[in-house]
Formats: sequence, C-alpha cells, structure tokens
Amino acid sequence: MRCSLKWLSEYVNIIMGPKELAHRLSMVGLESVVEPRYSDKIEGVVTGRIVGLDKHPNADRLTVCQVETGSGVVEVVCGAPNVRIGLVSPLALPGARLKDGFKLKKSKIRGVESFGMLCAEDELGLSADHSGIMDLGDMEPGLALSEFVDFEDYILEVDVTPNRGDTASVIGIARETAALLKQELRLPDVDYTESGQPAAELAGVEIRAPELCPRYCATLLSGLETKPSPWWMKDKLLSAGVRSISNLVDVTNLVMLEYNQPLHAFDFDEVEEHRIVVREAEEGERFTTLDGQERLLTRGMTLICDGKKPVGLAGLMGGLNSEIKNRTSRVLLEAAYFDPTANRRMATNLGMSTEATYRFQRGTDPVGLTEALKRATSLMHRLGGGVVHAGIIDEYPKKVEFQTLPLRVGRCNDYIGIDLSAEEMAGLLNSIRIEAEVVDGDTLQAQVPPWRSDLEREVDLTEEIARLYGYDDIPVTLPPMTGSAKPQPPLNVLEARIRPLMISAGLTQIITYSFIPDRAPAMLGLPESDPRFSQITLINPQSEDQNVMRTSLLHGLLSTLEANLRQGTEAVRLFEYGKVFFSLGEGRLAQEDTMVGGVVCGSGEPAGWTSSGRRVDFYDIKGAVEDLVEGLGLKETGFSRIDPPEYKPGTGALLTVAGREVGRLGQIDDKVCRAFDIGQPVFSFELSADTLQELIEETKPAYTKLDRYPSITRDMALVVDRTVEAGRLLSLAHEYGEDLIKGTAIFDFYRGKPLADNEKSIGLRIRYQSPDRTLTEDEITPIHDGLTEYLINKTGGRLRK
Amino acid sequence: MREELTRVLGEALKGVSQAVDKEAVEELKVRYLGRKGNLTRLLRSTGSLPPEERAGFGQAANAAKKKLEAELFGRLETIAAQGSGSAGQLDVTLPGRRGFMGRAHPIMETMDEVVEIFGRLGYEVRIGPEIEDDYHNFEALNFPPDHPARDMQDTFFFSEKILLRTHTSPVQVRSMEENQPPIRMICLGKTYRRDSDATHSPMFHQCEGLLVDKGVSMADLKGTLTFFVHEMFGPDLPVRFRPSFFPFTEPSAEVDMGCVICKGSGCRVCGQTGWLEILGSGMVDPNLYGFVGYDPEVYSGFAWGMGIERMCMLKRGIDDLRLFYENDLRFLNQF
Repeated sequence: MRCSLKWLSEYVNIIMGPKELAHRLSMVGLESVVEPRYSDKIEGVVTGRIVGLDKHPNADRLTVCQVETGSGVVEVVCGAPNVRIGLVSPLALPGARLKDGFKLKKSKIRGVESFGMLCAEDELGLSADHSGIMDLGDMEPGLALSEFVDFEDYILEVDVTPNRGDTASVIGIARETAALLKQELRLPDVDYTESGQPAAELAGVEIRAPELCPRYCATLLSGLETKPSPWWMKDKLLSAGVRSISNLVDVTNLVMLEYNQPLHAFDFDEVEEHRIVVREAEEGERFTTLDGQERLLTRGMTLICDGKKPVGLAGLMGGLNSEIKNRTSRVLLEAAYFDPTANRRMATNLGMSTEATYRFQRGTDPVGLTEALKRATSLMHRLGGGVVHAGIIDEYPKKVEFQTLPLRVGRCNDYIGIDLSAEEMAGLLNSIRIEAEVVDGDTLQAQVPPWRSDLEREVDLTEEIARLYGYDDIPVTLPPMTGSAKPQPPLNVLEARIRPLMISAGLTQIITYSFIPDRAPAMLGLPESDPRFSQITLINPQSEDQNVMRTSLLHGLLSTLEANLRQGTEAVRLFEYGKVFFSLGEGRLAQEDTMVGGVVCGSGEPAGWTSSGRRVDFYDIKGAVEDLVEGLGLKETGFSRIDPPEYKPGTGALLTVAGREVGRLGQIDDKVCRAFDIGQPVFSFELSADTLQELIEETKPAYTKLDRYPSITRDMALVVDRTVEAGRLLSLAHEYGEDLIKGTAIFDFYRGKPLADNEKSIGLRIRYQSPDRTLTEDEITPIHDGLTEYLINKTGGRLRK
Repeated sequence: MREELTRVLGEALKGVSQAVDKEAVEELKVRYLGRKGNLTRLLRSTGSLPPEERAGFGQAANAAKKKLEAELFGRLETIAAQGSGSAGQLDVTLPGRRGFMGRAHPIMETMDEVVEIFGRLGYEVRIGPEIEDDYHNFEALNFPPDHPARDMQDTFFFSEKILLRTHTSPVQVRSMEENQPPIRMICLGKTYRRDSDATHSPMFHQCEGLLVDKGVSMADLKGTLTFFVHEMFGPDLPVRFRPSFFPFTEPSAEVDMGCVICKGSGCRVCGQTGWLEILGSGMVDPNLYGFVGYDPEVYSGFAWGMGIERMCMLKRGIDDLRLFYENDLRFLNQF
C-alpha cells in the first residue's frame, strides 16, 4: 500500500520525521519504507490558460498556443494532442528547472519562437504519463506549481500482511499511527444534503445469496455531470499510483483507498427494472467483464444482476453493459460486503486479480461500509452536482458477528514473558480502538472491532499486547533444558561421512535441481522399460527443462560436468548426494531414495611438474568407489561385469557388498556423452545411499587377533587368456582351500610384447602364515607349487618366465 | 682447560650444523678429530694436568669427542638423504606431489554450522519427505484452503493435493504427530517455490526449529534466536524482533540483525537500513496443537525458519544466489 504522508496527515498529526515514522510502524508490524515522493524539485512553472490556438506554419503536428500566464499572454509551441482553448496546464517558463535538472531555455521550434513549454506529468516528475499536457481543471492562471504540488511529500510503502487487510487503506494506517503516536484520529467529513424522491422508491436491492453477500447498501444520485476531476483528487490518486479517469470514477477509487471499501458505480439508466439482484451464478453461465473478456462461471460465484441480466462479478469486476459513461447522469452507488472465502475462490478460479478482490479476500468492514458509502456519495455530489436521493438502501440479511474475547492477564504475561497489569493491557488495546474492559484483576473482555476480522481468539489479543508493548522491551531468556537430544538421522550422518571420503578422492560436492527435463532418461539412452522412466511430473513447472523429478543423479552430474568443461576446467571431478523420486501412484506421496553419484573426466593427475599427463580411466572411478565403500567400514566388496544402457558396452560394473547390489559404475556411453555435448571419456558411478546405510547397520566391526608368527610371501606371474579376470584368480586361490593362505593380492598386470595378443600376465602375491608356528621355506614350497598348478589347470594359463 | 674444551666443542658443533655437503663434514672431522685436530690435542694434554684434575677433564674431553662424532655422522646421513652432496640444494618452493582434492558444497557446510549451534542447545535433527501432501504442507500449519496466506508461497504441484514442500515445516508437523512434548528439534533440507531471480531460486534450503514444552515464552524465543545469531555471525551484532504475520505462529516475529557488511551504517546489501532480515519466527499458533493433539492450555512453544542460502551468502560474502546451483568449480573451489 502506497500512502502519501500529506494525505495521511489529514487524518492524524504526524509528530515525527518520515524515517522515524516508518521505523515505528515497522516495529508494530506494519513493515514500512519511506521515500520522497518526487525525485526533483521543479521550479519556474506556473499555471497557464490557453486562450488562442494557431497552426504551426512549418509542422503539421505542432500548435502555436497563446497562453495567459496571469501576467500577460505568451506564445508557446506545443505538440500535445489535447491542446484546446480554455485548458489550464502547467507552463514552464524560460529558466525553469524540470525533471532530472533539465533547464528550459527560450527557443525556436521549427522557426517559431516558443516562450516556454506546456508540460505533461512526466516532464514535471509527477508520474510517467506523457499522453498529453496536464489538465488542471478550473485553476486560475499564474499559480506557481509549488502552491499545489507539495515537493516535500513522502510516500510510505506499507507491506500489507495477509491478516491485516485493514491496513491497505489510508485510514487503516492512520488508525495504527494514531495509536502509536498517541494522537487523535480525524475521520473525513461525510455529510451531504439529501433531496428529491427517496432512493428506495426508485431502486430496489434483493439479495438471493446471503451466504455469499451478507450485506448490500446503495445510494442513488441524479443530475450528475461527468467531467475531469479537480487537481486535489488527481494528486491523491497519483500518490497511490492510480490514474484519474473522471470525477465519478475517481470518487470510487479514492474512497476505496481511504476506507479499504471497494465501491461500484452503476449507470442507473442502464440498470433494467431499476433493481439490483445478487445471486449465485449458474454452472456454465457466461459474462463479459468490462475488460472485454468473456468469463465462464460456475456455482459458488456471486453475480450482481439488474432486473434482467448480470451486470457485474461481485467484488471482482463490473460488466461492460452498465459501466458509467461520459453521459451518465444517474448513478447507483454500491457498497457491499462479500464473503472473503467465496470471493477468493471466485477470483482464483477465474484467474483474476483486482484491487477490489484483493480487499474483499482479506475481509472488509461490514459495519463501516456505510461510512465509506456516505463519503463517496458526498464527494460525488460535490464534484458532480445533481441531487442525492434520500436514504440509503440497506439489505443486510446475514448479520456478521464480531466476538467479545476474553484475555487472561496472567496467561498473557506468561506467554510473552512480561508483567503488565490488567489496566495496562486494556490501555494498549483501547489505543487501537479495541474496546477492552477489566472484568477482574486477571481477566479482560475485549470487543473486536468490525475492521479486525483477524482477531478471533485469545492468542490474537496476546499478539496485540506483545506488539503494542514492543518486542524490543520483551526480556531475553533461554528455556531450561529438558530431556536430551536424539542422534542425527542416519542418512544425514552418512552424508557427513561420505563427504570427506569423496573430497579426499578428489571429487567436489555439487547440489543440482531435483527437477529435470522429462527427456533425461532418453538422453541416458535408457529403454522405456527402465524404472528410471517412471518419473513424477509437475503440473506447473517453472520451465519445460524442469518438468519432472529426477530418478537418477546422472543428468545433474553430466550437465554440470559439461558446463565446467565448457568454461575450460581441465579435470572435472564431481559428486552429489541427494534424493531421487519415483511415483507410487496417483494421490500418494513419492518413493524418495537417497543416492550418491560421481563423475570424473579429463586428466588423471593434477597438472604440475610431477604429472605424467595420464588421462582418467575406469580404475580412477573404481578407486573412488573403493575409497568410499572401505571408508565406510564395509567389507566383502565385489565388482562384476554388467552392461547397463548408460555405460559404454564392456565398461559397466556392478558393485556388491556382502552379496547385495549397491550400485553401478563405468564409462558413460559415447551416445550419452553426445546427448550432453561432452566430447571426451567420462567415468561415473551411482550408488544407493539407502543400501549403504543398511549395510553399515548390519556390519559389526570385528577384531581379528594379530598374527604372532612371521609370514612368508611368494609371488607368481601367470599368463592367461585375456578373458580371464583377475578377480577369478583371487577367488580360485580362495577356493583352493589351503588354511595357511592368509592373503592374496594382485601386484602386477601386463599386456603386450612378448605376450601374444590374446594373452595377459597377472602377478599374484600369496601370503602364507600359521597361527601357531613359524613356517619354513621347505614347508611352503610344495603348497605354493600345488596352488600354482591348480590355477594353471583351472585357467588354462602358464607361468610367465 | 675446561673453558678451552667448551669453546672448541661449541665451535665444532656450529661448524657441523652449517656444513652443506660431505666434503665440508670431512674437513671438520680432520680439523677437530684428526691426528693434529683441536680436540685431539686437548685430549692428549690431559697428562699434563695436576693428578686431581686429570680424571674429571679426561671424562669431559672423551664425552665431547663422542658428541662431536655423533653429530658429524648425523650430518652426513642428512646430507646423503637429501641426495645433495655438491649436486645442489633442495628447492623447497617447488609444489609438493599431491592428488586431487575436492571441496564440500558451501550450503552443506552452512547446514553443519547451524546443526552444531542448535546441537549445543539440545536440539535434535529430523528429516522428512520433499514431496508432501497439502495437509502437512499447508492445512495442518493453519493455512486454510482459500486463504490469502497461501499466496505467500507459490507452490509446485503434482496433483491437487500432492506438491513439493514449500518449507520444511511439514517435518515439524510430522514430528509432533509422532512425539509428545517436550519437543526440541530442527529440520533442514531442500524446499521449493515457483520463483526465480537473483534473490530467489526455485529450489533452496531451509532450516526450521521447534520447541514445545510447559511454560515457554516469547522471551525464550528471543533468547534462543539471539544466541543463534551471535554464535553464527558474531557476539556483538545487534538483534531485533519485529511483529509480522505467519499463518503458523501467533504472535509472529521477523528477526533482523545488524548488517554484517556495513556494520549498520547502511549499504547496498541491507538496502541502506543497517539491518538484515534473517529469520521468521513466532510462538506456535495454538491451532497447530489441535491438529496434533496437544493441549494448548498446557503447552506452549516457538518455531522459526531461515534460508540456508542467505546465511551462507552473508557469512561468505557471496552476492548471487544462482551460483549455488550452477556448481561452477571456479566458485566451489573457493571454499
């Protein structure tokens, strides 16, 4: 809500500076900022009346105006479309200072000398409007601009919270200000003289839907003249950012800003049968609002109709058919109270938002609306002439109740942590016109005023006490400890353990959006049958590239990798820990699985003088996975070949721990790389954090006694067929079943000359040890020879010489 | 004689410590321990001393000889280990041999800091689903259907009643559903709103806290959050509480702290006000207790929420929210 301080000061004395006021209002819950209304102080501008017009001899679009300045007539060249004899407009005289410090000089325009400039609003910094020169109505010529434009004015911008719709009005802000500054609240004068036939004899109002419209009031005016508003009206509307339209329309807007009560003016001669009917819309009914749009209505919506047809959407927007026009002379002025919930539902369903519904949704004042109606009637009478027909038509079939709320003083004090007496609390409430009475030392009874529909419970009064007492003055204490905290959730602990393991494996943590494009599984080359296709779709995504929830971390990892490669990073190594989401069916929450994934790409070592220039390969990503799994204390790790579609054929591996599948790793398929615009090999892994967590819980740390007797180590190099995996040799050595074998490891791997193309050499290191004696070489030799022979037989290999 | 011995040993040891190569060490050996060496000479002169001094001096001189021999040997070892000799010195300024080192995401580190501070006050961490239902995200938090308060949070929907949580508050509801007071918990995690510019991201992280017990007051709320701000941002920062509105708290309070950038004098970050809005908070609205079956006449409590990104930006001087989700390594490697 934008509120001019000059306007506000009509209702309350502001006894402090603008900044201090904004601060004080903020500290009682009306978050406010204040700034000067005008950025420039304009000088050398006076009112001028156009008394003669000539065509410019050299330019079709320009006019040479004779302008009366109060001290003579000057010739001014003007290009505005709205010049006419009799128009009073601001005239900047030579030497004037205009917006942005622009200094006006006497000048020749297309050969004609111009002794000044007639100004549009934007040239004076009053608004951004440049549609024509300003129309100042019947103002006298020769008045200095500063006499009717207050260049010292400020705009207070109040952030209206959803519970305090009443502060979306000048009077609402004035009410809080008066309480805060302990000043009197002065309400506008609403008196007018009634004459002519009573309104109720000429017009009728019938409410057929009291639930939707509990109250409808109207006044009737005839003989009105539609004309431009006087300057003071335009000035007030401008301060709130509202454009002036005509005297009659401006009145409804002004009073809405003053009282928070939207009003509607009907051209009474267009109201058939001269009666208003408020009813619920029919399903499928159509209505064209004054913005020219046809709206499809449903039950639950509220229509304002005349005797024959709908004329407006209640509390939302009027219709084209009964809008007031320039020739309108009879006006039926409506002030109603519409049910906030029904009004909001209608606006939401029609996708409309207007100043009126903004206010009705937040609850208007069903009692005070007659004051607003009287204020508008008196202003219309004053600005439009004519007569006001006697009486207010007032249909109020469903009375809106406002409670009397109790407030327990002791409880309120305990709740806030302060110590006020019943009288002090009553005083605070009374200051904002909540009438509070002390029942006894511990209880107050407070009457909720009709503009405060947000006050429904005792705790709402407690809040009023707290904010009026001042949050600053509430003491600062710490609550005593009771009980003890439980440990962190296991999946958070897991993340905290995985993070340093990945960091030391050289991977940097990233966080990417949970929503990704629905084409992501296709980009990964997955077949339609893959479970990662069962994505959950957003019905209102922010963009089409973020329209489903991710079912894999790979899309985010690969996209981020590509972005980093694109900006020139040589080695990109990333990991992410987060959730993926799978549909559990309509109307149910999702299955949320926690995953950890990583990608590596580029050089295999940091660049530097010790670097060998090696590129990353499968064993880099496998090493990172091994670091992770072993770092978590898990044992019985196994890797086996699989061929998932996202990995290049022959490079995929399945990680199992204690026989359970944990995840996959491998080299991203070339087609997938192309889909992500990546031109070099990428290795990645994606593991289930949930499974890792279960395994951690199942794994009991076990202690094995240290060996007391020395061990003997023997190596062998076996040449085997290329298809024989190193892991096979290890498991065969295990199968051999010799108790003295205490450890096996791969210590060497070789392919190439002088071996044949289909051969490779694997170096195997065997450690022999006995728990109860020192082994001798003689004892070991036959065992080792036996194992060697066994491995050769089983693999069809040979010993490398 | 005694002084002479001490002086010669001192001189010799100093020489050893300055010897940079094998040759220098050999030279010292000859100079002090050779046939005509300084120390050898002193040892030989023992015989010329009066008998009562002989034994004592002899022992001292022998000890000095042993000491010097050991130092010379040690020096040789060191030089050999450096592979030096006369070949040149070790360049200690060359970079060491290292592997890759990754970094933690600053958002995760900020969450750790918050958890640590509230952990000291006895708060436990709870987590919950990111895809929520309307009931836990809105209704049970006192956002009635068709209420303007719902406009405060622009929501991503999967269907009419299933959505992406707009705050971590549903975790509070679920905690209260599952536990009886006293409750002392915080919840952290991803949250989502349909919003995107330099100060809003459609996905962001929140931390919210909840304490429910007997006799809890707004003064306790002020104390707790003041403690947090001082631990997180510095003990001398001013903290102020300002009335506000949230559907789930009554009374509600915005928490501002003195601007950490300009120290309150007014700058671009704080919009010239000297204050930064960092937390939303309030006393738990008694309506919420109705949803979870607590007696509001017996229990009271407070809750708060804050954006992790904002905390992180203020602590580390980051000026663009979008950097967190672009994951540019040039950015991430700064932390």
